[in-house]
Amino acid sequence: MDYTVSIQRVMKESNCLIALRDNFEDLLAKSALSILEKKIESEDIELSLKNKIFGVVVECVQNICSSGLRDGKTKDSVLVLSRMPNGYKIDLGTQMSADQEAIYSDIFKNFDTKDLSGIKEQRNAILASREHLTEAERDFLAVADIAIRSNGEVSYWVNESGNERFSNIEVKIINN
Amino acid sequence: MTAMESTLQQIHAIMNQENAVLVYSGEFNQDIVKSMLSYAEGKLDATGVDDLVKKKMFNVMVEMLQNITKHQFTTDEEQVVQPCFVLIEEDDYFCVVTGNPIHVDKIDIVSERINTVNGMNADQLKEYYKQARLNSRISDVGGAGLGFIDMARKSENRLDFGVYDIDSADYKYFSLKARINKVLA
Amino acid sequence: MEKLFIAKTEDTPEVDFNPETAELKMSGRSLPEDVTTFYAPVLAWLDELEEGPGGAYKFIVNLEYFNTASSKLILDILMRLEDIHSGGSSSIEVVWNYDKRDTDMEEAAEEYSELVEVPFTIVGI
Repeated sequence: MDYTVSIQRVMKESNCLIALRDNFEDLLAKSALSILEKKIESEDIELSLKNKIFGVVVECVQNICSSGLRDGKTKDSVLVLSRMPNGYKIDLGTQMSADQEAIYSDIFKNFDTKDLSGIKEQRNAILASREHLTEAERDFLAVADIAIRSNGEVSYWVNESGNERFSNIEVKIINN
Repeated sequence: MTAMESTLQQIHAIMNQENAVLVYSGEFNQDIVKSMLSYAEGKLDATGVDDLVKKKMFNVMVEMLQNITKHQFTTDEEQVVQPCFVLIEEDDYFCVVTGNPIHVDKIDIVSERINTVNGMNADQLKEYYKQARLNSRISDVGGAGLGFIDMARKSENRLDFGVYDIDSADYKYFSLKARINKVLA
Repeated sequence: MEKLFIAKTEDTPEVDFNPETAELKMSGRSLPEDVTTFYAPVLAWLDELEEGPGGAYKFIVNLEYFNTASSKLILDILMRLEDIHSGGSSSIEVVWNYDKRDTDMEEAAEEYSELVEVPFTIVGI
């Protein structure tokens, strides 16, 4: 059990508030969101900042984590919420199918996270369509929401270790 | 590779290795304890365990969490460690793991208590608990004495523990693990 | 037309549509994973309103949070209301209340007001 010494040290050094590893399906997503929300609530910060963090966390748990392997293999998503000197950070690592990875890579490639008004335009166009949203459009909305709430401070990359590909999203919410 | 990426990877690696679903490290208080409990409740409901198992899990968690809440601070000038709580889910059981600083003077007595309860069967534990309850008014055992007995009784499994070195002359890190079967024997 | 009342939960808003008072209220927060199921009766009710007798209705929003899945449905609601308003027999007024400290919500309300043609008042509380 010496990993407890290591993990508390890693979390302490990185100012991690909490780490969750789950497949975040349905009921589990609710409990995960609930505990994350409590943690955010207990921070001594403004409402608007709390709502930003919560919003990012919801979109991560409900969209990104759940867009995983649908072929019966267990998905393994890890979400870490940490404090930074000037705000908060949400780190998400998740396994995605090759298709999903392609969708996310595409979304990130095609927008400049700093061009928030461009992102809002695209988002509004999707929202205003009278059709049912496709999965790719829903994913776009989630990423757009994260980009807007974090003022563009969001990045996506894929790690390969051995046979496993792991998608990473890092969101920084900077308190101005 | 950013520094944070490697932190995520480190945490992920440990969680994967131990099948941990929740790791919390930081200050413990009643609110935190409550949210850990309700998270566990969500997990248990999703797994569909018996109400009795749920109750046992809760009891064990409450004991362990209240213990670390009580023993989270040291008298060291600089807090070199934080308490931690890890919830593990395996196919057939859950594990609740806690870590907190322990004063070197307390190590022997704590180890002895845990070893004692580990050596007992259910009936012996029941009797021991009764005795300890009666005696707890006299000795300074307080919560910890009854706590281990209760954990062993409720979890129906041996308690695992470890004591590890940290950067402190007066304290070490005490880690405790209780295992609760998803299906009662 | 009958009233529509859906009680609030941890992840869905309270919906209180009252044809007698002509107030259509939605309050709380919206983060269900399955938004379509939740909002179906709301949209169906609005469709009925469109067919029904005329009147002057107020759609009063008091939402603390909504996820992106809900954002689409909320716009669907607003667009239905826009259809009703431009249809001629009824008039609709949207009143969107938000917590003054929540700048993201203020912005969201502003954007919605730009996306639909209905009288739209945004109130910081």
